[in-house]
Amino acid sequence: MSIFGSSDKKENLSEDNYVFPSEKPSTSRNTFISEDLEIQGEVFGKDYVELAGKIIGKAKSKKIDIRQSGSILGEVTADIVTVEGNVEGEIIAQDLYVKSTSKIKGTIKYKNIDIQNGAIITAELIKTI
Amino acid sequence: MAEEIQMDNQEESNLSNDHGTVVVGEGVRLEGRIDNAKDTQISGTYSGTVKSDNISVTDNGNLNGDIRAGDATISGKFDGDIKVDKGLLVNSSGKVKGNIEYSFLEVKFGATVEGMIKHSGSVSSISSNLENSNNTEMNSLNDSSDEEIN
Repeated sequence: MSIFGSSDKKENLSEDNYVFPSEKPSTSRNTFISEDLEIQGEVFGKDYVELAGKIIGKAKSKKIDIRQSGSILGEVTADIVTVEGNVEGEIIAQDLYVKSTSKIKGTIKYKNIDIQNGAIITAELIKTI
Repeated sequence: MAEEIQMDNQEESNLSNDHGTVVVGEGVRLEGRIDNAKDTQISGTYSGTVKSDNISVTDNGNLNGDIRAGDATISGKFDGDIKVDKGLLVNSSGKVKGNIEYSFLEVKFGATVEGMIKHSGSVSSISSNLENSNNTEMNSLNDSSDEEIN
């Protein structure tokens, strides 16, 4: 209970157990664009981009999730794209998951596609090899 | 609820009451025009138009032509224009090429869908929402992206 007695343990905690947020591997290469953020231009992620806000322009990454509040006006390119929100423009994906809440208008280029009932899509679908 | 509509329409559709039922069996080739049908099942090869409340193209089925239906399930091949008033289900084995007009659409992972797909209801443009939230400085960028899309 004494302050001096617990000082060793305190050191152990800070050195061995504490991980700085910036060093956490699970989040280090992830990008989150929040609901109140609007980006005009191009977003290039290396790994994972989660979009709850708006992008007017281009978004490119390995994996992109467009949440229900998220929207893209322009172009989305990723290996895996999940759409719950709105996209107007072009989607280029290997695996595309279109959820029931999504609205898509434009062009869709995909290798594998999964569309949930309820999605509103007016688009040209092109299967790439 | 929409899911229920589509489930009714799978290959299990009740064909026991054969009033209004058309079945093109496996291995059969048929050319023609089907009108006023209630349930249509294509397991063979059919070329022509189909107007049916329910239509199902099964795994080995092949349909070339135009479909007008309430509900449709495609597990085989379809080439042509399809307009469904309610739901279109494309199973993972399904291959659809052509123009699609639908109210409810479900596509299983692995399926092929190529062509123009159009939701029958009104599709509100999100660009107008985005424009509203733009400040005037960015209008030039916004205009150029609009042009690209149109």
